Order: sequence, then structure tokens, then C-alpha cells
Amino acid sequence: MPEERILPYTHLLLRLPSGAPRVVRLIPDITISLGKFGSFPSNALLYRPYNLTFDILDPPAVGLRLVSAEEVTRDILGGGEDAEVEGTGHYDLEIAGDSEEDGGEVMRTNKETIDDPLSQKLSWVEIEQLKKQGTSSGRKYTLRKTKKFLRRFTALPLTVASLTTYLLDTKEPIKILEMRNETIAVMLSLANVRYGGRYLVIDESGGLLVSAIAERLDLLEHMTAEFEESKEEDTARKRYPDTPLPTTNTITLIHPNEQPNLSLLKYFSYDTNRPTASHPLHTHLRTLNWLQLVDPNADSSLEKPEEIVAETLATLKGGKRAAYWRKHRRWGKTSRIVAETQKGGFDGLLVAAFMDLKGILRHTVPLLKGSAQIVAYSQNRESVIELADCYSAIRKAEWMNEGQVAADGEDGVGDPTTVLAPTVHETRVREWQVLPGRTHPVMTARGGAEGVVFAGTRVLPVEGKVEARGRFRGQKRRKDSGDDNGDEETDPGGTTPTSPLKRVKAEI
Amino acid sequence: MSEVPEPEMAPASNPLPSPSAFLHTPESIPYSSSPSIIHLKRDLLVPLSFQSNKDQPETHDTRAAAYSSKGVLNTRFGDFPHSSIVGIPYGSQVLAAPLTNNEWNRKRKRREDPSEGATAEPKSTGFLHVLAPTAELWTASLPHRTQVVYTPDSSFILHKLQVRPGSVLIEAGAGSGSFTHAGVRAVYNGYPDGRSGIGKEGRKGKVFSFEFHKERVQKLIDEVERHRLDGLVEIVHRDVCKDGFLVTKMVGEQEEEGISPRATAVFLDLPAPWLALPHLTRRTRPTPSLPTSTGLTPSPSPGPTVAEDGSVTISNDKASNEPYDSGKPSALSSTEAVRICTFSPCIEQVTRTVSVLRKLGWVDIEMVEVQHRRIEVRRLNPKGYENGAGPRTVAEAVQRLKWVGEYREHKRERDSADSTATTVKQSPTEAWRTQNSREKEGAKDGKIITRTEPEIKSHTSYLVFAVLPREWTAEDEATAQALVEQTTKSVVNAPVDGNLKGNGKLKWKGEKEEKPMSKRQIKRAEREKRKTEEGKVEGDEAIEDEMIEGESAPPGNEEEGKDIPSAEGGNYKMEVDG
Repeated sequence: MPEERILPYTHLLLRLPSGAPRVVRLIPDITISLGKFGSFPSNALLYRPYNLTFDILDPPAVGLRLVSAEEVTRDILGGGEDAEVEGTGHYDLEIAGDSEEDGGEVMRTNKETIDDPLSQKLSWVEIEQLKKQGTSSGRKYTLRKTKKFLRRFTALPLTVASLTTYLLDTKEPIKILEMRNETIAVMLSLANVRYGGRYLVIDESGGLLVSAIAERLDLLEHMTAEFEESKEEDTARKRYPDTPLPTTNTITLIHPNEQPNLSLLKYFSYDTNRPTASHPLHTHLRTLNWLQLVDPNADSSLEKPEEIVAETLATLKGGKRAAYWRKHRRWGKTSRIVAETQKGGFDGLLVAAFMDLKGILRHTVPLLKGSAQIVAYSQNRESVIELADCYSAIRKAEWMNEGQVAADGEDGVGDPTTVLAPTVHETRVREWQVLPGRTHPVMTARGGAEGVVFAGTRVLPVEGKVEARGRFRGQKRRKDSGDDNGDEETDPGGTTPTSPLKRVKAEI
Repeated sequence: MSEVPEPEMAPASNPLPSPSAFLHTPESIPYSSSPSIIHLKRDLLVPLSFQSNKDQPETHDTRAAAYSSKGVLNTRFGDFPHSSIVGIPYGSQVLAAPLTNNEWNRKRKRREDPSEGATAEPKSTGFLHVLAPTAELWTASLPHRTQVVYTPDSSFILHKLQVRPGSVLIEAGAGSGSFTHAGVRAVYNGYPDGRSGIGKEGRKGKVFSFEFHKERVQKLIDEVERHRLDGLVEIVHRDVCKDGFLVTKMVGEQEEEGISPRATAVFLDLPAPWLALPHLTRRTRPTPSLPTSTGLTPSPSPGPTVAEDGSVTISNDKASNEPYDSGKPSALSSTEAVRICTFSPCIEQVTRTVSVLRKLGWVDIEMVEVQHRRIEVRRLNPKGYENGAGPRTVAEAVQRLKWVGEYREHKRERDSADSTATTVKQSPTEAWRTQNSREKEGAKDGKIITRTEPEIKSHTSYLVFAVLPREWTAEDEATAQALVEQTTKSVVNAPVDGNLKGNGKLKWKGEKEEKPMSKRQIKRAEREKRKTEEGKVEGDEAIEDEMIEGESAPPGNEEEGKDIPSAEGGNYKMEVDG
């Protein structure tokens, strides 16, 4: 049975009481410092389970104290739920002796509060005194203090979900195209990402989308060890040409620059520059750039390196010989990946890009299997909407009547009839606070990119002219006249029944 | 974790049935009991399975049966013999066969206007698309028996619950089975019998689906079999609030009861999830079942008892020293953190659930709702009058008003000048026409407009998420420490203080260590409380009022003033209202 433990050299997320997450790599025998919250030896977390909360011991003691779930909850509620339950809510109801006609209850409001910071009538001595009395307001005060200064953290596993939250809140969200967890989740579902499939991916979010897919394909689980990293070079060399590349459960990434930007995979112990041979991504992730896909003949890396006969090779120096083989291997690998990609037959296409989506789909949709799902994300709503418009019923009709002429050349999506049922999804999660008597949505949330996702299905249209059939007369006026099937005969150009001219004429 | 080679297809000699079309899309549409999705038009999807001629026509789905009779699919877009569909690749567009004189067409002819029918007759070019089944298409097309969990919710739930290949998912309240299909796709990493030929060694992902409605259970079992998800989904007919989550397992010939599913993720779509929660604890304790006020609430035998008001009676520390009920194992995985999600439409259900979760040791409690919208994209016809007739711009309005005046004048002139005199002046109507040539607009003209779908699901349900960390005992801690000492240089020797009994536990001001009280003590305390309460109230109130003033108006003391904003929006989201 799998065990969840904090293993050496893994990245993990420490959540501090202030809410700020920290990502640390757990290297044994070091001290992890959390700034003003103190520091602790990394060995104290090693081989312990995730999701536990620890207190950092006050110096001179070194180490951690395990905090029980009960205590964590008590501190969240501020001194026990029972105490909170007694107050009936946000506006605490109190028994007031003199207002019996109200049923003896009055609502405490901010009616008497003076909204002026200078109207403080109590001196700080008096306030301190009140605090000491430990009333509920005093407790609230202590709670705030606690949140700020409690030397406590929770050790969480670094998963795609927690990494996304971390990058959105603390790092540069623009680098991950401001993709939210709900966006990633809905993309994975709509694209029908499942174990065993082959997926074509365009990811300009630094590898976040790739890692999300890899998580669903079980390609992120990996035991890292220091010794492995040192000898990784040798194993890669020895193993590579012999192991056949897997044909299922793979991710093929097309990237715009010469090298892919998959820097976020480092959090999952995979570095594309120095790949670890034993990592599942090493064999299941393939990358190629747009040049290699669109115009492979123009790419110098796909030219076959000069063959050297075995005899001459034997005379070469060791370093030169190694370089020759390395070059050969690289060529072999790249050309295999390109050939395999151009053969197509992918089970799904996932796009998260700054680039124009239309061009991406023009080149990639033909590589998909029939019935494969397509999802595309852009941080601006407009590019997604423009893309959806390219697959509208009117465009399809125009394509079928006029053929290639209707296409926009390099700017367009190509044949619009290959994508069925284009839909645009917008999803957003609203967070709530749930506290006894004080349950409501949180007051502020992250704005920014709206996270609009395009979804469609790759279909194989019948050759030749196809006319839709059905009862159109009634349909024309119905609200769903935008559907694919019934609309192709309707005239978009407006032979509208009453032009203003006629009407004016009639009036005169 | 050694990886077994992954052949592309199962060996031909394999006598095992083929894997589900939901998990492995076949190369072409097969004769099978598993459905394909017929896409008639947007939002009109029909699940349909194609049986070879020998077999009886499908009767499992009345809706599909209405479309399909005697090996022909009859739609308003034409007739499609099954033989024209089977064998072609998924995703293909299929043209309708020429009209046949079957019952459906006769009926349709009668319904239609005779003149119209005559023109429609020779056409045979209607079409549809046949799609491979996916969890989403199935959800959109499935025969609804209950409210289903839609894709935006289910995708987020699976993402947050960290359901991955190899996870074990408990689903309670299977309903129509829409979440079951999304769930099995997420946990799938090969069949236990190896029929798909892929997968690593180790635990195979599985969904345990509980449902207490007998009829639905039958349908679900039938569905799982037809979709070839056997071995991956186990449907259990059970009221989980009463009887918990332990399952039976066939060991050889014998059926063994009380086997733990060892779940790593739990999804509860129940009316009262808090009643099922006591069955989802790390250890089951022999707690005496307490009578409840209404008698309606089942008191679960293992685990803490939940009373009708949602309060939980957990045996105190003393009881925990008693031997655990070894006969009833926990339904959860003992070595992993377990994540839970409950799906309830009402806020009252949420507060109750959260309160019970907190008492049972769940942490990281979050509550969210998913808001999803589908956006419709259209082109605005620039000269179209779908959005109200009339001029589109001020200039157009001015021009038109001018024309009306000119036309009137023109008419008057024409009338007064008799019909013999030809007007030299161009008719204003013609001028108007040339100015406003209403040429046919192409698909690329006109503004793109968006609007949300006509009906949005403004509220589905509230999702409560929580995590139950792995149980960590003193022995576990000792082994971990030994492992650390073994594998590292142990430069910094820092054992974790695993004493949970409150050593060094921070105390809130005025908090007292609670000691188990005897019954007599409790009664006396209550009596005293009642006595003192009345006298106390007034004095307390005075202090409280002053405190409010003191809080909302930051005092002169600098340090205190600074603290207040920093408390907002914290991790635990507790202090939003001042």
C-alpha cells in the first residue's frame, strides 16, 4: 500500500499561520528558516506524513512540536467552538433587561460606533486592562495576534492544486497565464484526460498545464535521491537508445522557442535540461517546436548527421567519438518524435497559450483522432471568443459553399467543419468562510483574467456537399438558431421581411 | 515502482472482455453493449449502443429506444441504419439513408404540411455525428434519475480531492452515476485483471459507489456491466448513514464481510452528510449508541455518536485507552491522508457538516461554490433587425429623417405637377437605396457579441472540502526518527515532540484545562451558572459596548493600529467582519 511520507529532496509547501505559503525543498541535514517565524532542522520533517501541523519550538530548544487537529481547530475558532456557539452570530444577540417588548433581545450593531479614528476615548492602559479581562472581543484581539506571531506551520504536499494556489497568490501569476485551479480542473475534464491516452499539448504557462496532465497520467510520482542525480548522466546515455518509447500515456508538447519552457516541473523533481532518466516524464514527455512540426525540412536539427564509418570512428579520439554518438542519438530521438507527431492520432488537445489560438488549432486539429476533445485557454476572453466564432455555423456554411476561399489563410483555423459543437466555458469558484454564526462568502477574491475555456470535438466530416435537414421554418425564430445542424441553410445576409424603407413607405 | 512494458493493445489471445470504451476509445465503432453518443445537434445527444442483428434490440433506455427500432436510428434529420454506423471511426459524420417507408416517416409525413412534405421527400442528406463516450458526454446525455453533478463541479471536486490513477474513491449517493463515470476516469490505471494491457504494478484505482435507492442501484449495476467498468466500479446497495462503508469481498468461494475499501478520497452527495461522517474515522471505537431525541437518526455503532442536533459525543481521552474495535476496520486508508468533499445545496447542511468535521479531527476545512457559465458567441448582423428595427447610428437616423422630409416634398411636387411632367430630380428613394446598399454580408462582417446561455445554473451546491491527516502515533514517530538517524548524517538531532496530551500546549487567556467531570460536578456547575447569569448580564454588556468602540476606532497606540488590517484575509478566513 502506498505510504504518504515526506521523502528527502522533495518540494513541499509550508503554510504559515499568516496564510503565506512557502515552498521548500527538503534536503536532509540542513536548517530550514522561515524568517521571523524561526527555523528548524529539516530532519525533523523527514519521513513524517503530510498535512500535519507543527509548532516551532522556542529557542534554546530545537525542533518541532506536533500540534493535534483538535488544537488547530480550537485556534481557528479562537478558543473553542463551544464558546462561539453561545453567541448567536455576527450581531450578537443579548438579553437586555429593560426592553421587554422586543422579546428581551436586542441586536448589537455598530449604531453607536463613531467612525473617526480620533474619537478613541479609552487610554491604552484601559484597553490593556480590558484585554486582560478576556472578553470575547479580547479573544478576537488575541486571535489576530496569534495569527501573526504563532510560530506554526502545516506541511502540505506540493501538488498541482497547491502549486497553482501558491503561484497565483505569491509568485507572478502572469507566468502561468493566471490559470486558476477551477480552470485547470475543467480543462482536464473537458479534454477527457485519462490514463493511457496520448495528448498533444501547447503550454506557455511554464509547464503548469503539462504537470496537471502528468498528474492525471500518473507521471509525477517519483522517488528522488541525491545519488541518482549524480549518475543520471550515465544512465541516460546507456538506457536511452535501447528502451522503446512508450506509445500510450504520453504528452507531446509543441513549444514556440528552440527549447521548451517547463521550469515548473522542477517542483516535481524533473529538470528538462538535466533530465533524470528514472523519472516517468523522461520517457512519457516529448517535446518539439513549431518549426519541426510545420516545416521540418527547414530545421537543421532534423538533418541527419554525417555518417562515419565504423573504422574511421575507431580511430577518433574518445571525446570526439562520444560527441558523434550524442549527436546521432539526439537526431534519432528528435526525428522519431517529429515523425510520430506528424502521424497524428492524438486522443486530445490542450492549449494554454499567449499565442493566437486560431493558428495553433489550424496546425494541430488535423493531428487528432476522430472524437478527440479539444480545449483551449487564453487569459483574454476575446481570443477565445474569436476562436469560437471561427467554428460558427455561418463560417461552416461559407466553407462548404466556397471552400478554401473562405479561409483566412494563415490567420484562420482552416477547415471549420472538423470541429463540432464549439462551446465557451467560464468557471469561477467562490470561497466562503464557515464559522459558527458567521458564514458568508469571503469579502475579496482574486480578479484578473477571467479564465475562459474553449471546448470542441474533433470530427471527420463527410466528403462533398452536405445539406442540413430538418424543420427549419419553425427553427429560424427559435432562440437556439445558432446550432450546427439546422442553421446551414439560413441566410445570414438579411433578406429581412420588413426593411425600414418599406415600412416608411407604408406609413406615408 | 518498476514499470511493466505497456503494449499498445491487449494480446489477441486474451480471453478477457475488451476494456470500456469510456477509458479506451476503440479504433472503430463496434457492435457492443457499451453506448456511443449520437450528436444530433447542439445539446441534443442520445446514448445508443449497436447490437449485431442476432441480438435483441436494446431496451435499456426508453429514450434511445424511441429513436431506434429494428436496427435503424430514426431522427428528424433522417434515418440511419446501424449498419451504416458500425465499423467507421468515432467522430465521423454520417449521412442519412434515403427515406424509407417506415412508421416514423409515415407519421412525420402526416404531421407535415403536404406541400412541404413533397419538397422534402427526395432529400437524403441529413446528417449526424457519432462520438466516443466520455464522462462529460454521458452526463449530458444520460437518462436523469436524480439531480446530477455537472462537469464544472465534478472536475473541481476531483482536482481538489487529489484523485489520481490508483486512488480509491468512495462515492455515497451515486444517483444517476454521472460522477461515477468522471471518478472512474480519474482513478483508472489499468484493470485488475489486466484486460487493457496497461498499468503499473501496485494498487489499482477503484470507485466504491454507495446508493440506498434500490431501483437506482439495479440500473447502476446494469450500467457498469454494459459500460464494462466491472472491476473498477463497485456499486453497493446501502444506507451509509446507518451501515457505514465497509464492503464485502469474495475470497475464493466465500464472501467475506467487513472489508475496508481503504479509501483515499470520499465524496458525499447525501442529504445529511454529517450522519455518515462518524463512519469515516481513523479508528472505530466501541461507543455505546445513544438514543436520539427523534429516534430518526440512526446511531452508528462504530465511531463517535452524532446526536440529532449535529453535536458529536466523542469518547474522551480515557476512553481512547480502551482497546479499539478490532472487528470493524476503518474504511479509510491507514497510511495516507484522506480528502473529503460533501455536496449540499443548503447552507444549514454546510454548517452542520463543518461542525461535525471539526469535531472528528478533519483539518483544512474549506467551503466553496462553483459558478459556471456557458457563453454563446454570435455575429451581430450589421443591418439585421433582430435587435430592434431602426437606424444603427445617429448619422443614419439623421439621414433617414432627412429622407422622409425630402420624400414628402417630392411626393407633393409629383402630385401637383400631374403625371405628364417628368421629374428631373432623382427620386429620393433611389438616392436612399444607393446610399444604403444592403449587400449580403459575409460571415466575417459584423461585430462578435457574447451572451451567457439562456438559463444558467446559478447554484448547484456548496462544496465542503477537508483533509484527515494520517494518524501519527508515538510508535510511528519513533520509527520515522530511527529511519532519519539511519539515512542521514543526523547532524541536527531534533525529534518531534509528539506528545499530544497538551504538554507545552498554548493556552488562550483564561482557558482552563478541561478535566473530565463527574455527573454531579456537571449538575452543580449548571446550577451555579443559572444563578449567576441573571445578575451578571448587565455588567458584561457595559464592557462589551465599550470594547466595540475601542475596536472599530483604532486607538492612539501605534502597534495596535497596525495590527488590525493584517488580520484580514488570513489563512483561516476568520476575521472578516470587525
